[in-house]
Amino acid sequence: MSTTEAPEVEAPAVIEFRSVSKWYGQVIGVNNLSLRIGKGVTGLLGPNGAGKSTLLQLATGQLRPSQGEVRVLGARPWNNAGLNRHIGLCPEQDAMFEWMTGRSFLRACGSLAGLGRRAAREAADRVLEQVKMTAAADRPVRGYSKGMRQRTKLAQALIHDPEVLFLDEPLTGTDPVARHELMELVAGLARQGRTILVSSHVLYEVQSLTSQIVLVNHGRLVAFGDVRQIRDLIDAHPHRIVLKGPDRRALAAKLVRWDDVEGVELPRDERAIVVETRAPDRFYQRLPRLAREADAPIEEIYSDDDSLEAVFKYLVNP
Amino acid sequence: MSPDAPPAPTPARPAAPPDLSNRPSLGALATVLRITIARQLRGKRIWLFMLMFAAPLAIALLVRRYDEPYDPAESERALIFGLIPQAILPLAALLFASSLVQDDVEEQTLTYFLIRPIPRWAIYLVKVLGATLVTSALAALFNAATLAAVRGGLPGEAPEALLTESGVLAGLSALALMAYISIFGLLGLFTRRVLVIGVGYILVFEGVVSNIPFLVRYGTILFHTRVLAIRRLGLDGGFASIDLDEAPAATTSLAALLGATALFLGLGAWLFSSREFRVKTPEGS
Repeated sequence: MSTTEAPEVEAPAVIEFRSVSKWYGQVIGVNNLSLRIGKGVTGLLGPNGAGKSTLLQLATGQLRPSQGEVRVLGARPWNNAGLNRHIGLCPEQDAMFEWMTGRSFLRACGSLAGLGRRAAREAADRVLEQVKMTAAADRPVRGYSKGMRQRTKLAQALIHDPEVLFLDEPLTGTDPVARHELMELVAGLARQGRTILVSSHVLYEVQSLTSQIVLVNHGRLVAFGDVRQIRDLIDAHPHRIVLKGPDRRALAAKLVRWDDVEGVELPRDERAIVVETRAPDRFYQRLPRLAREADAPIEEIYSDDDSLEAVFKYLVNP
Repeated sequence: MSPDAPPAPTPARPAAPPDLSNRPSLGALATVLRITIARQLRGKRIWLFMLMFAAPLAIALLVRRYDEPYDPAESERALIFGLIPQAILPLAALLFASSLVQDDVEEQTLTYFLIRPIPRWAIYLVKVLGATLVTSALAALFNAATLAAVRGGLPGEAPEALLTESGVLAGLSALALMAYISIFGLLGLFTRRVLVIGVGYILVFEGVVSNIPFLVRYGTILFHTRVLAIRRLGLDGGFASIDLDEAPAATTSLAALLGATALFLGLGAWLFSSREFRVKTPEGS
């Protein structure tokens, strides 16, 4: 994976952004972004305000690109009602028609999607089962918890059995059980041959769904490809390792002399120091000696770099 | 693949081209209508509507109870052909049309319409239809009730005549409401200040200009509605400064109302199809 080199074999793209920019007046939502996404699950990652929702709204025809071209299944989504037969969107916003029950909401969505009355009824029952909401289906949606609303929103995206799914922060607000179930469901949908683009600002959510990720920040594409390859990419960036002990000043005095240490910070936690290094393996090997030489015990060691969150931070804030 | 390099010109589609027919199903349109009506009938707006229409009804009852001698023709002119068409109908239309799209934008539910295989122009037209049906049905009820309060039970007053006049008034109200909703609906796509601008329009055009016997009144909804009412119900046009010898024929006024409605509906549908609606997201992303 690379941010600069193309893979050797290009799979046919189901979703394609060609030099797409989107401005909101003076504000840039998406900045000259090119991207091709094939079948399976792809994670769209970025901090809040990165442009993820703008990308999804462009891909679902809710917004028109200011520049460039968006293609989904080979067609331009803007003002293309026919394309909506083939795509489903689970929007980020929590809104639904609050006076409806979950079941009536889904039946209405089925009808809006062009299903006949009976087909909409059957589809509603099917997707309620899929998202495990059958038991609460006849309660008004205004009384639903955040997790139940997420499940219902996902269900409406599935109601017409679309080939392409856009899921905007679908796991936000869900409990661990729901999260696991929704992840299983998304994985199952991908195994059926669907194309699924899942946005999130939390890396660990997406890493459970897919290894194929797209990183965006400030409307720009930062990186995309396999998350393991992204790990290689971050070796170009300093790793931050946190050490905790009773005499952090003694530790810091020793560490600043090490060639492979790029910086030492003393955070508010009075027992901690944060070390930046580009050679983490070597650093870890030398730590026991450090503890002896500084005559200062190290009680706790942990690295942000063990979490994908840190990978993300490195890449969006290079 | 690269974020910076231009993408290779490989085919960007799966093996079979998808069916991209834009033709919406009748069921989908019926669902848009059902949701629109359900939304219109909920909330404070419907109560405000009833309050507005209850005013002439209450005035009619009070005048009939306390006015001596009671003149039903005077009450009818002032309320049925004055207050209701001149103020209450356009205000009611403004109330409902202003929220036609804005409610869905603010409540973030517009997405559920826009991501479906329904052309945007059809969504807009069905929404206008929904607002027109709700306001017309309620206006017909309140018009009939007010008419009954003015003339019902009087000596020599046949119930059949009241029913016939109620029917004519219902039709005329529906025509006027459809025209007003098409105007205010279009205005609502241009500006968030539709209520302020709409009230200004009602005061100046429908309130003042339509009553002045001058050419500009031909451009008002109220003038043509009154011409139709006067000709259809055989009224004397003096109360509205309308000289029947010079006033347009009923068909001309009908064509003017329908033409204006079609024009503003078309513009609204076009604008709804071509503009973006940014639904805010929780994190502003």
